[in-house]
Amino acid sequence: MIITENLTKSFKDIKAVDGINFRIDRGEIYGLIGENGAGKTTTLRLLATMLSPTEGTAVINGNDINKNPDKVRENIGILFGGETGLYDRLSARENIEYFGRLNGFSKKNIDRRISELSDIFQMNEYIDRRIGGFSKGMKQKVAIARSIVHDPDILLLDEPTSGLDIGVTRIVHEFIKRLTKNGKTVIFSSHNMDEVKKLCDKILVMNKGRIIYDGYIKDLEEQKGKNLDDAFIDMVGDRNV
Amino acid sequence: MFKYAGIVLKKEMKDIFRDKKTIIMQILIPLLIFPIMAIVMTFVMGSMQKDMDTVSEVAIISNGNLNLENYLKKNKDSIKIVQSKDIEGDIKSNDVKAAIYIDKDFEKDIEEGRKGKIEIKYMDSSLKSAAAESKIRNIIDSYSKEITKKRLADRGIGEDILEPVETISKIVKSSENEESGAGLMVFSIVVPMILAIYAVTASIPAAVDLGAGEKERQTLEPLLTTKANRGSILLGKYLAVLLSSVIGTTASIIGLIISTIISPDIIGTTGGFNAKIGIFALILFLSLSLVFSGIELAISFYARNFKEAQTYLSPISVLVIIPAYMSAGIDAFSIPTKYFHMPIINIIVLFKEMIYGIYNPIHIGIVFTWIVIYIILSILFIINMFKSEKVIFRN
Repeated sequence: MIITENLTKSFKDIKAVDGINFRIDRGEIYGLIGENGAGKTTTLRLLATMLSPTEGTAVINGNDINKNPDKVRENIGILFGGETGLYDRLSARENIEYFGRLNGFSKKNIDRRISELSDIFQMNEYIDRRIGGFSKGMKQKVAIARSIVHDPDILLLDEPTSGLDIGVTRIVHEFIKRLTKNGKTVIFSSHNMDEVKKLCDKILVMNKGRIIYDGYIKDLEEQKGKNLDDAFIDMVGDRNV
Repeated sequence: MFKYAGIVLKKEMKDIFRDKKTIIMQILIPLLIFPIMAIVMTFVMGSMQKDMDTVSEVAIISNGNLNLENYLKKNKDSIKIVQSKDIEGDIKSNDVKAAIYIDKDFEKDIEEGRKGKIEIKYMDSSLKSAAAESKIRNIIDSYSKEITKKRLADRGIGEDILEPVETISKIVKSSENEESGAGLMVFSIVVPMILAIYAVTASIPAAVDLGAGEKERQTLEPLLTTKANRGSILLGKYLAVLLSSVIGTTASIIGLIISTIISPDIIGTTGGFNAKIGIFALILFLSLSLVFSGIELAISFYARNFKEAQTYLSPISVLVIIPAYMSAGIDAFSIPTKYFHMPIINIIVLFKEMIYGIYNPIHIGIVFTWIVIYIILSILFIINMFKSEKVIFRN
């Protein structure tokens, strides 16, 4: 479960995240949508304890991000879009193993887990090859495996399909669906409304650091009498005037 | 904390040594540069000696002064008299190495007890021409001594009148080290300088890769989301940079030792190396590595990318070369106390003293106190940099 209380992050005079409050229960999959600069990435970084809040806090599975950041990180996995953040001179196995070890897994458990993930993502052919020669799709699969090697309860996905072709995007979508079937909690940010509608039940809409909608997609569409794309433009457009 | 630091260290070392550039810059170049210099020096010295040993073609304009001309011709082992129609042209083209112009009144002046004049023309930018000039001077010196002897004998005066004072120099050994003082002096200048330069610069490639390199590759952010806290990650990286420095410095020391096998004079003497000196070198220059590994990694984290990090870190080599060269002129037996308070110079001059067997407890105390302070400051610097969100996310 994720609960935020007045979560705020300022950079000099700019409030990138401005006193947000939300609650996400176990097993839910939330889409985090907003324009560029709305505060989505900053929110995810705060939850991942990469950044410290200026005010407020968040509690993830009972651990406060200010008081127990190490415990928080034990329970989360994070996946970025764009660059996958893998080490080119290490093999796929070594990359995944490194993150597994840094998340407290033993060598024995990691080996077993890598074997499982390699089967799930069909990476057996190249699991021991160095990342340097991989295609974007292959790298994204390794990055996904890295983010879940320690079997976290919560996944934070920051535009995970950004820049990917349709084949790899489908792999990511299947991965997200699998997570929710296994009772994992997922927040993923995206600019692609079709993707959000396909994968999420609920959404958080952010604008200028604030949450302007928190709830079911269906309810928003009914409220506005429009589809999600138009409803979003409507909401964000109103506030930008 | 140490468990995760060990995981980071192991991965970083694996990653560093899979990079061909690193192997070349940190191991091969330090290992080979001194032996190559030794080979080149041996070749150059040999070539210079060969020029001295080879008979030089010399032209003479004797103006009828046959005594000197015949004297010069007798020195067939050094010079060979040749004809030349265009002396300056032949000197410039190196067909003639030097030319001797004997003044027309030379023998008359000598006969009448005056100074005879000789002019030697040569090209100072040519090694062979300069060697020929030196040989001619030696021959004429001998001729001049013979004339002096004869003049004194004609007056019934002994040669001793020319040297009223006999000076004898005796060497007092500076230490139990039986090596020659001159050789040890060269050793005490060259070796500390090289060790200081490598202790500081050998860690730069690793620091750039592990700090700014991670940012550029966007591998730093995923790292910060693991269970391992920032302290562990930082400690692992710092140890990796330090270890790279130690490996690079060790490679340069091995290269230096190999170079002394090829050319023993390259560092003055090999007798300066012994176990005691080795241990002190290890402690002193490792402490320099401890300080600069931290500083370099901190600066690397500040940089946005690889290129920026290299720009910031390149001047560090100047920071150490200047004090290293300054220390070269300092006499190990009378080092002013102020030098033991100056960063980098203090380590070099302390090591210099130790080479000569001088173990001054005050000097040792001062330098090690400063070393502890530098290490603490360096560690605080890097902790502050790594803790700062503005620095870590500056890209």
